[in-house]
Amino acid sequence: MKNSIKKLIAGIAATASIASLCFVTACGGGGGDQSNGGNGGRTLRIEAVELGYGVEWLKAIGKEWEKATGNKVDINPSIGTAGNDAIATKIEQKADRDIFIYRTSEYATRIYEGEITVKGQKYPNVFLDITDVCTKALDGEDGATIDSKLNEDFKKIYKVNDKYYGLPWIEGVMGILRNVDVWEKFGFTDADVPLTTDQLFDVCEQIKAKAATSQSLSSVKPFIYSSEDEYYTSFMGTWFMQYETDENIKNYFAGKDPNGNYSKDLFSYQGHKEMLSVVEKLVKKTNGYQHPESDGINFTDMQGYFLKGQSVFCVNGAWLEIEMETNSGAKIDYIKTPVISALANRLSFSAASDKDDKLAELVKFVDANASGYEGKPEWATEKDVDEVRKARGRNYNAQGSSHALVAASYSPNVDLIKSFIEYMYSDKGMDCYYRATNGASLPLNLSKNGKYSDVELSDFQKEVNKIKKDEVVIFASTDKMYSIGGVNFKLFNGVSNYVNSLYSGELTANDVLAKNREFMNQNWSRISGALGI
Amino acid sequence: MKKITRIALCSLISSVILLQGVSCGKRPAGTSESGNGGKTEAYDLWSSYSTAKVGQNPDANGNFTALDAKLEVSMIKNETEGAQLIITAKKDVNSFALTGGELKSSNGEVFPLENVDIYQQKYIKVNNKTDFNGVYTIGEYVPDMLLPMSVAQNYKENSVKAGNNQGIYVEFDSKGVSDGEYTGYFTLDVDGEKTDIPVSVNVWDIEYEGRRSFKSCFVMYQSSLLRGEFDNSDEMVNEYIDFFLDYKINTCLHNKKRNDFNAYGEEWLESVVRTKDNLNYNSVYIPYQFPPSYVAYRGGSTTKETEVCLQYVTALAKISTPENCYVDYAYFYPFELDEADIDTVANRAANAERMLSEGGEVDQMLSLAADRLKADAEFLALGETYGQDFIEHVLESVLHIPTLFTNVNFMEEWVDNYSASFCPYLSVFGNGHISEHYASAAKKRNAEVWAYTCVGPTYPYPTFHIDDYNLGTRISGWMEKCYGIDGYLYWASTNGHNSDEWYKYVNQYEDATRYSGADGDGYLVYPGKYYGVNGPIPSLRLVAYRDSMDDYDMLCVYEELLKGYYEKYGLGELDFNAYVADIYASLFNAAIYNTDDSLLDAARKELAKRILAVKNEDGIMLCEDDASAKIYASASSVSINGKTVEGTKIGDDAYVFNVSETSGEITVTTAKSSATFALKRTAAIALSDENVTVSDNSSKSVSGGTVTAILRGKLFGAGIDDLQTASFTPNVSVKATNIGGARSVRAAVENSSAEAVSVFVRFVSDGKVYELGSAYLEAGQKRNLIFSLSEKASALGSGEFQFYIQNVVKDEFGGYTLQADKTLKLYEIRAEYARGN
Repeated sequence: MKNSIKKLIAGIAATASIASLCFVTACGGGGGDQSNGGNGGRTLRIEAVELGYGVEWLKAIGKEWEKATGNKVDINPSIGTAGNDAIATKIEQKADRDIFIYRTSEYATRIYEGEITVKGQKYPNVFLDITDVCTKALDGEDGATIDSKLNEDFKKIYKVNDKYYGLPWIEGVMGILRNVDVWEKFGFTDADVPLTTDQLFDVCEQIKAKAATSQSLSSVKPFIYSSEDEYYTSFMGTWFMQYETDENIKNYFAGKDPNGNYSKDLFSYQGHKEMLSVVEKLVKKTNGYQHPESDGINFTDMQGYFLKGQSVFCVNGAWLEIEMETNSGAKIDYIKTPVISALANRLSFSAASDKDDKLAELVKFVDANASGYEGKPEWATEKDVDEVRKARGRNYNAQGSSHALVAASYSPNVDLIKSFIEYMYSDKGMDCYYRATNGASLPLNLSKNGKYSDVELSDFQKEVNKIKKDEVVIFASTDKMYSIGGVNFKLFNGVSNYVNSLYSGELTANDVLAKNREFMNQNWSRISGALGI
Repeated sequence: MKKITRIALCSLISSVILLQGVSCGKRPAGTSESGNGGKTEAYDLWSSYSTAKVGQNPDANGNFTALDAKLEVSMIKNETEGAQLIITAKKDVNSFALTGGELKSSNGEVFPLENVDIYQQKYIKVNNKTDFNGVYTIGEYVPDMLLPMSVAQNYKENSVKAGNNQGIYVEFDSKGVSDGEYTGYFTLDVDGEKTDIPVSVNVWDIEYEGRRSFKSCFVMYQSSLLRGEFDNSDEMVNEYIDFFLDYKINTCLHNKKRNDFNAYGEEWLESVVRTKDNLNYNSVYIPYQFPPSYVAYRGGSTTKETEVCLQYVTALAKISTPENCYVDYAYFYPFELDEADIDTVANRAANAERMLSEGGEVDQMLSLAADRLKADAEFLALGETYGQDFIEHVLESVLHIPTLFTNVNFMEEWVDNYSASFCPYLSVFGNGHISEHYASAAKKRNAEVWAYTCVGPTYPYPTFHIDDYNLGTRISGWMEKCYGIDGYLYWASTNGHNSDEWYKYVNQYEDATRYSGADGDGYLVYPGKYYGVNGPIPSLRLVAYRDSMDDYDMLCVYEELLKGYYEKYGLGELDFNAYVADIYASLFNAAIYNTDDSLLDAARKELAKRILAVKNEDGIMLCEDDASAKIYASASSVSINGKTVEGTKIGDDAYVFNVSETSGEITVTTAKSSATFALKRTAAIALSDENVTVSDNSSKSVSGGTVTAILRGKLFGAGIDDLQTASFTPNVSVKATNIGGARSVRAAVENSSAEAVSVFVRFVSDGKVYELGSAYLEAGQKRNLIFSLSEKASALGSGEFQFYIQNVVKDEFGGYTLQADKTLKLYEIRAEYARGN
């Protein structure tokens, strides 16, 4: 189980101080008798983990909800990994609380467990079914619902058996960060931003070559990561989803093999191989694309190295700036994830000797033309354009699939729970979140007429906010195969820490796939039994 | 010191909820299966199967069946079997006690009361949840310790709080008891109110005789006894060893004196001999620990480590006798090679290769031990007493003293090349081709195959975890018999501290955590000290293990009877699994057990029925090796379902009889005996050119109902690295129709290739694929393979049975290559239906 909470702990103090600035100004303005907000009202009890984003955003939303409803919010924060584990335990113990906000990889598994009994009363699930809240029209939002505003990929995670049992409380965009200052020092311009993965490797080679002849840049490498807490496995799914057809993506997410069957051959997707091959080439030590400190420094230090210009790129999340409190004066942004070059093998020009150039040309075309085929290269078919446009629309990955807000089905305050959720995911609540986190947003679009308040954002946050919601994909699934089946979606089956093994050369991409396939072979009896196949 | 490693990669934290056999039981509130639960104003009284773990909280999610308030057991002779009663208190109960009463059979024989033990179940909190079995959640109290009722009374712990369940566990020991049904009443006293509890003990006329065959190695750290008993003297150690032996467990005592024979050897030899009269004793730990750098020779001379090993081995050989051949029981267990397949820091894999390869350092040491003995006058003198055959036997046994090698995963290249006795995770045996590969390799080298658990695997495989069913452990005995496992190793049986926080005090009666994340793992007993009991107090988990061994022994009884018949009637080699495949299928699939306690009860009764059927004076037995059933007997004429049938003589007092019936039950009677058998209805699946196909690149021919298929690998696109190449499966496919209702499929398959092959079988129908299992066939080997069919699969009625091999295999350098051509012959395929139908 990947533990990326570690890195988030580092930013707690920083986050609190930044977010508190917004908290003092409050969300939604003044007015109302705050001291009487809860007079005679009931109390909604929330357990919340305090990670990189802190809990000030929650307190801010809570305050507004209190004003709006006359009820009280009692928030009990739990800090870091230990705090998160404590919340998971409370859920296990059916603790007498109403809402739980935490990080979990067992959201779907909990739901599949089914009926529980608390104090002699049966409930269909440990988590409250909040489908009604998610599908009702929000006040003043022109018919918008939480469901209609929610990023489609997040729906796939949070809707299980067609019902909502939870919602995400962060978005957590991840991608390839660029240290623009260092980039420019190497003489690159925006025109040099790689459009395909082959071009990315070319750029890496150029960086290596230039660094070798420059005293000031000699220690700079194309990329840096931390073996203690790598994010390639959280991010690489973008390449899988760029490569694979929609049908295959649907099958894989549904726990099925490329033929659409539940079988041992789950890890037979070419997309897995291509994705892993890119990661292998990118991280392999002997290729020299990764900073040599990658296998020695912790995550926080690694971020510091990046900000201080020790690498041009870094696969990381939008929390970087918040967590590090400062960007050390560096100008950083995201580049669009280069389209996986192997995609060309599926297109009409796969036999061309310059197929990657052609692919890059098509990428440029779709970047300039959001729709239609007019002006497309003559050698490209409309299908080629469609495929590349789809791939180009999958640029970033989101971490919010594991950051769940859930509620206790056995709570005596179900009405308060639903009221709070409705508020939090309304435009008003989302705006409050936006200001309390200095510009981060939930993975929902505002309604048609919704608008975020003006907040002074950092340059980086402005860049992040430019990212369209639908460019962000989630490489995760709550299908039974990946929950009660015990199969790991991100290929940690029969192998762990494989990015580090790819880095050291101990394993190849083929080896990682072979281990996953072997895992399926050896455990198929258990898996098929669990799925009732 | 055995290092505790993380839960294995392939034994991931299980998040499985088994959907079969779940019967969500709750306190019946006056109801039960027959509606006759005991009910008063103060409490409800009911029972459940002995394997059911009924939590203290009546409202907790449970998975057990509520039965009438009675105690009912069925058992073989010389066995201990339990039953449980549950009180659900509506008001506080200040004291309760169950006392035994007279149990008599119809012919007046009495079941001795001294053979009855009554325990109060004590509850312990679940601190951690290991897995998602849907029950026994964090904070819940589950039963584990079995405190003798008299002790509970003395310590005034025999009370129940209102709203709680309280279990009473009763064990019956049929040692010295004649077969028959013994009935009577025990008395339950609850705050002065007495209730008669009906009791029935049925002792079958079945007995396991002689020393047990299934071995065990349960590690006990001598130091651990200090924490609970405040006493780890030799006397206390022996109490524990003897106690465990009564539960069919052989102890691997771990202490520091091991590598000094001069200091420890004599004491060790005494301990070896001390328990020889206990027929559960069959495993002798040679307490020499190989250092990681062990070599047998250095510079042409034996190393001092080898000399110490030799002292142990030769000393053991010299005290062996035909009646107690200790070298037959002996084994090494090198801690420094533990789980070498997942070790990343200690170079264990390389050390294992050096030490355990065929002809490696350990083989060299054993070979030298045999040579030394051949020149040892003291040893050779045994030949004068016991004969030269005994000497040869001991020498051979020395050469094959097992070195237990724990692996989390199946390591094919190791299995093929090492002479160790492999001891993988129990879960690994879920794959037929893997367990058979182990068995085949072991047979070639005269080695043993063991299994182990250590924190992992977790549910749905059998575990000793507090937050898990005990039924899994009970059924593990059946699995071990099915998969040919010779012994079981467990990493720690008496730990009194949390391995992660060794410096902290643990109240062993209240805290089940000995290894973070796996409550219950690391201990199976409770210290008797606090309760004034000399020695340990058992747990329900320990009882489950003992009972699993009783079931194993029962299967051995059946096997021995059948073996005897096969020899008498000249039937060749017995395939025992074929006689119990359906019983196994009712209990488990692969290494995953069904969670319905009633199935275990039914399986035992069915097994007993089959044993008793063949345990008759005229040697009547049913053989279904061929397509048609046959009866064998030592009488020349029998009556089958009332019709006289004359037999064909096949040997001295040996006759064979054709059975015209093809389904249902048959009753075979002679002048002296009668036996009833449920026939297994089968239907042939045609093997013809029309309904047999092969995959691309392979070829087939069909002649006289036999299919010969040459399965060839195929490369795609990018060659060996291409995913299509990896997922392609060369196969021979047989169309089958009308298999609706079939429970299994049986195929006579021969590997006509020059190399061994793993063959996989699946059923494909209507786009659905059902993997049925796999088998490992040596070159030239022909076997009957039996695979269970799920209800879903057989309900489809028709489809294709595909026998396939892997397209890509590992080469000798650790890379990948196309599998060489394999020739499979299919002689016969039959769909099999439920017996008696």
